Amino acid sequence: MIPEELLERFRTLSLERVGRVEAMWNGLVQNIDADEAARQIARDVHTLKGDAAIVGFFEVQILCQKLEDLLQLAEEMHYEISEDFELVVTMAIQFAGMLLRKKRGSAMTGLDLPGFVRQVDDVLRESRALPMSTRGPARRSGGRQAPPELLRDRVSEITRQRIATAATASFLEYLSARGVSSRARLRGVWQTLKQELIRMQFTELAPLLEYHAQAAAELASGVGKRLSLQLERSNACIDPRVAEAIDVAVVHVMRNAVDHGIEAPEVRAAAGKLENGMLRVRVTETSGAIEISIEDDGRGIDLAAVRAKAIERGLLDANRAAEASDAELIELVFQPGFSTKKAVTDLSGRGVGMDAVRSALSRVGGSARLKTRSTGTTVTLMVPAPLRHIPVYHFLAPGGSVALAVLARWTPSMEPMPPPEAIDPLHTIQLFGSSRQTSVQPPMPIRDLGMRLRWGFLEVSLRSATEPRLVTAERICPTPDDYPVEVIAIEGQETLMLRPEHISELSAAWAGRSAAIH
Amino acid sequence: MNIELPKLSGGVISAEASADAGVVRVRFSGTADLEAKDDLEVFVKKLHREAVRLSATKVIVDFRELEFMNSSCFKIFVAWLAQVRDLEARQQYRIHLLSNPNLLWQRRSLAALSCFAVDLVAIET
Repeated sequence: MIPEELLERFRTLSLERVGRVEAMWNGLVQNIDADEAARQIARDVHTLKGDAAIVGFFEVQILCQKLEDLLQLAEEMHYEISEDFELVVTMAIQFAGMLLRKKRGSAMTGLDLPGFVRQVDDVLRESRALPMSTRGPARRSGGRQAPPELLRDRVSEITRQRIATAATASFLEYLSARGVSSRARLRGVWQTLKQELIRMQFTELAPLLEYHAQAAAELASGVGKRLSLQLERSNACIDPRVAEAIDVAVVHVMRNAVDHGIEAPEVRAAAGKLENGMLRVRVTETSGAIEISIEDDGRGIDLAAVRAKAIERGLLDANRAAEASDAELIELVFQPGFSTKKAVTDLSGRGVGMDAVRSALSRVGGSARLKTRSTGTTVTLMVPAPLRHIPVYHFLAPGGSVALAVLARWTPSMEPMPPPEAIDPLHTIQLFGSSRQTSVQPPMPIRDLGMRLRWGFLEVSLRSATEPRLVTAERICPTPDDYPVEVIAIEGQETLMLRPEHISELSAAWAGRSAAIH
Repeated sequence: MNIELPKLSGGVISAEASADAGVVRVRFSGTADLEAKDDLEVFVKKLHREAVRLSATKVIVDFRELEFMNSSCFKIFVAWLAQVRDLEARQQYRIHLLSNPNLLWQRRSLAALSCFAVDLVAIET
């Protein structure tokens, strides 16, 4: 039994230590005398861990171990760490303080150390999945993170929607403006905001892949290998979040290809291959998805080594391993255990970071698959394509000069005369008069019709100048689902899409845009 | 009894509280960064004081429009949880954090925060 006086002294000294660690950590992330601070923090945390073990504060000991892991990784990353990382270190220090203040013999009521440790482990795993070159010169670097200009600034969905709402307001102002100069100025505002939104929403994939392919060629050159790159052109665009995931995944896949797949020139020559290894990158766009295929003509994965490793790690018993198909063995390569350095050495093939590849992609709804043979390996990365196109019913507002649309989830039925309750959409959004024109060529004769729209139990009646036609529209300015209007493009023409379920809020939207513009 | 907690506004962060039938609601918006830290600290301390004065059983903290929070501001909430934990059982109130799944910073940080008082804190999306 540890005497109470000794425990109290441990608690007092340790809380001082925790306070010092916190102050130094704050200085460290602000780059104040980083080296000395890092050394002092390491000493304090290590001492605290040892002391905690002696007096039986095992929760503090566990937390210190996690802190040491975090601090080591932060140092490797030159303290270029994410907000999440910084936060979890700060909170771990706070957590240690709380554990130390806990009264002797009291239960751990309310403090969820295992839950917190899981959060720390998640941060460690995600940070380790970052490109190796961001983790300091001591590590062997096969890839590097793409420069920021290739990875667009990521703004929150809420911010993006707010800008889209403001852009829509400017579009409505433009439609209702009188006078050539006002219209031109408001058109300019709308165009600027629209371009900014497009820039925020989509990133070109090709420059990112070209960047990594060039980096792979440089890596190959650095280790005495020669590489022929084959990049097939693609105009695919992706969401910025997806671009970040691809950035992580491609670094690992290409490094593996160069490090472990493609052989040295003399080995290739001896095997009857061209001395230059081949790395081919292809992008295929399918409905709703983009596939990036990275193929090398190296030695392929040594599945016998994977089988042996699986037995050694206890993932499969000998009988099960003997029966395992190639596909099952390949699946093991995506297991976290196969991404350790030891596993790489033992496998003498691919495996490094494939768990990181899958993990990065799964966070954005993507996946990865791998095929291997004795003449090479192909890794296919699948990510969701941006949802840019939507089906809509396109029609002209009363008067025939303004093009409108509603989502095709509404079912329209036409009436030869508008019923009394039918709403004039232009009046609702206060687009009176006839000076604005968003429809150049009305597809049908202009009439005065009633259009009853039904969606589930909702029903709205609008006045319309034409029969609706079902078309595919491009979302160029996505506003929130509960916002009454959105500007879309139909056959290149900007069109106002209404959300009839929020039709009563259209007037409020008008008031909002007035406030936003004036 | 009415809550005596002035609205926090004018800076990068806004917060507004109300109370009804033993439930205190506080809604944050804007950005909780270094600039907001001092104001936020004062506000949260007053919030705790008011929750105790009103014998609140629950405090609902709406983060859904709070775009970002840095680690310094998070410490304010950690300290708040510690204060609630230190109250006598009859004075303790539960804390419901309303989060926005579209705001990436909230995913891990609020989960980590709840680990400090898992018996008192619930996260709702």
